[in-house]
Amino acid sequence: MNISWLHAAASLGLAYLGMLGLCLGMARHYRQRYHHPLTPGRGRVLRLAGWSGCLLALAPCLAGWGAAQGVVLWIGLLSAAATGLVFLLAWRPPWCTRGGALAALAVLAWLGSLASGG
Amino acid sequence: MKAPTFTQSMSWLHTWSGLLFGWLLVPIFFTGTLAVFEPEISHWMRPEIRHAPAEPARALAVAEARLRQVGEGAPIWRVQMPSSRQPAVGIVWGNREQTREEVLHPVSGEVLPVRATEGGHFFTHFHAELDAGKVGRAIVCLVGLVMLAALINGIVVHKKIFQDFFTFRPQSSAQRSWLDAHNVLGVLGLPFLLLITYTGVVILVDSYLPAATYHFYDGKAGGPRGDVVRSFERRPAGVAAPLPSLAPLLQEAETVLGAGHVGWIGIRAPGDREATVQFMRHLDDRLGAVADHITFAAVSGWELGRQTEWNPVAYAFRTQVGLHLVHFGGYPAQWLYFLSGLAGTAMMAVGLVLFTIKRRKRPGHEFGAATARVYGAIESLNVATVAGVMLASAAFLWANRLLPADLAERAAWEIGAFFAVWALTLVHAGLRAPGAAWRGQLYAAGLAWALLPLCDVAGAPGLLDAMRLGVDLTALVGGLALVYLGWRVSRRFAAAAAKEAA
Repeated sequence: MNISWLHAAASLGLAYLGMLGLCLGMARHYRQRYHHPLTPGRGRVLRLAGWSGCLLALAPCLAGWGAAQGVVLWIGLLSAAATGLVFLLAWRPPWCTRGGALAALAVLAWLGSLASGG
Repeated sequence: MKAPTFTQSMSWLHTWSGLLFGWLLVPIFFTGTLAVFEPEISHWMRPEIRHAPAEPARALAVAEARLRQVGEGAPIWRVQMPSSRQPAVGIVWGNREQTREEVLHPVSGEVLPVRATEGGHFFTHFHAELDAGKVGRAIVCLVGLVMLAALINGIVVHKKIFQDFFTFRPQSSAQRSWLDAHNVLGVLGLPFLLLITYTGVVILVDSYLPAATYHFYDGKAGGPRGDVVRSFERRPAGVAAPLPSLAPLLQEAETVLGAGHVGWIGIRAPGDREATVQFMRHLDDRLGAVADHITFAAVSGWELGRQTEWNPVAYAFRTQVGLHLVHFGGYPAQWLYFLSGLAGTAMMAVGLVLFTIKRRKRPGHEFGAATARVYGAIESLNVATVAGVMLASAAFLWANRLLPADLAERAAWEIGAFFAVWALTLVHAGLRAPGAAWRGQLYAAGLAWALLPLCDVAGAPGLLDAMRLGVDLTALVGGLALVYLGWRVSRRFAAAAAKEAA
C-alpha cells in the first residue's frame, strides 16, 4: 500500500479525535453519548484536546504532501472526519467513541512508521 | 404588511434559487463528482486495455514506430504517455482539420481494438457545459454564481452554525431531520463547497465577460493563454529531412522535467528539416495546473526553448484551476474530493426534498389555484434531477457494455442512452405519485449501479485489473446505498400514508 494512505489515515484519525473532543465538549452531545451532564472542568479539557487534535491533524498532511497540497487535504479531512462523527453520533452514539479508538490506532501506526524511518 | 427582515429575505432567496437552480445543480454536482475519476471511468469503458507496467522509453519507442507507419505526411503527431491512471499509449496524427487516433499496448506496441467511446470525459463535459456547447456553458456560469450566492445566504439563514455544528436528529419529525441533514452536510462541507464553487466560477471567468479578451486579442480564442504559454514551433522549411529517433530527446527532456514525468509529446512537421519535438510534463504532483515543457529541433537535437518557471499570475490562476481539477495529491486527495462531492450532492438533493416536505405539511399557496399542480410538477422534477440523473449515469456505463462494438456512431449512442434514460425518468416521475416515483427510481438507480460489476464481467472479456475492479466496487457500494435509501424513503412514505388514513 502506498505510504500516502497512511499519512491520510493518520490525519483523518487526528481530525476525528479532535472533532470528537470538540463535540463531547458540548453539553448537549456529551449527554447524548454518556446520558449524564458534562462538568465544566471536563468540558474545558475535552475542548482543548479537541482543538489540539484538529491542529495536529495538519502534521501528517504536511509530511505527506508538503505545505501547499497538505493544507488543502487537512481542511478536507477535518470536514470528512466531522461528517462521519455526526452520523455515528446520531445513529449509534456508543460507536463514536469506539471510532475514536480506531482513529488512535491509525495515528499510532503512522507514528510507528515514522519511528521505523518509513 | 410589515417589510420582511433581512433573514426572511435571504431565506426566500435561498429557497427559490435553491429550488430552481437545484434542478441543474444536482446533476452538475453529481457528474462533477464522477469526473474526479474520469481516467478510471475511461479505463473501465475501454476494457480492451489491460493495466501493464510501462516504461517511458519503451512506450515512446512503440508510439514512434507506429506513427512512422501510419502518420506519414501528417504535419501533427502527438503521443500520450502511459501513466498509473491511464495505462495505454495514445497516438494521434493528422492536420489542423482532421486527426486520427489509436491506442497501443505500452510494451508490445500492439494496436488495441478499443471500442469507440467518449469515456469518463462525458461526465466532465456534461459537468462543464451540459453537453450543450456555448449555451450550456453560459447556463453553467449562471448556476455557479447562484450556487455561490446560495452558500452565502444559506449561512445567513442558518445562523446557529456553531451551536448546531454536530446536530443531526434523525429520530425527529421528517422536516426537522431533513433540515438537520441539509444543515450539517452544508456546514461541515462548507470549506469544500466554497472552494469547489468558487474555483469553478474562476475557471469560467473568461466566459462571464468575454468582451475585453475578445477586443484585445482580436477575437482569438485562447489569446491570454498564448501570452503565457510560449510556443517554440518553427515554420516548416518544405525541405525533406528524415526524422531521427526520439529516444535521446526523451532522455534529455526527462533531465529537465523529471524522470517519468513526461505526459504528452508533440511532434510538428515530422520529416521536414525544421521539425520540432515538444515534451510536456504532466500535472499530477503539483497544486498549480501548469505544465512545464521543453522543445527540441528534431533533426539537430538542439533545444529551442523551455518553460519551467512561470509568471506569478499564471501560477495564481492555474492553482485555482488545479484546486478544482484535483489532479494533485494522488488517490487520497481524489477520494476526498469524490466523497465531499457526494456529500455536497446529497446536501442539495435534501434541500430539494425539504421544499416539498415543508409544503406537504403546510401548503404555501404561492401559485393560487394551480398550487397543487405546480407542487406535483416540482416533486416530479426533484425525483428526475436527483434519482433520475443517477440512473441515467449508470445507463451510460451499461450502454458501454451492451452496445455492439462495431456500431456506427457508437460513442454518440452511449451518450444518447444517458439522455434517453434521463428523459424517461422525468416521464416516470410525472406519471407516478411522489412516493412511488422516489421509490421506483431510487431502487432502479441503486440496482443499476450495484449490478454494474456483473454487467462488466459479462460484457467484457478478460480479467479485471485494479482500476476496473475499483470502479466496480465503488459502483456496488454506491448502488447498495441507493437501494437502502429507496427502502427507507418508501417506509417513510408508507408511514405517512398510514397516519393520514388513521
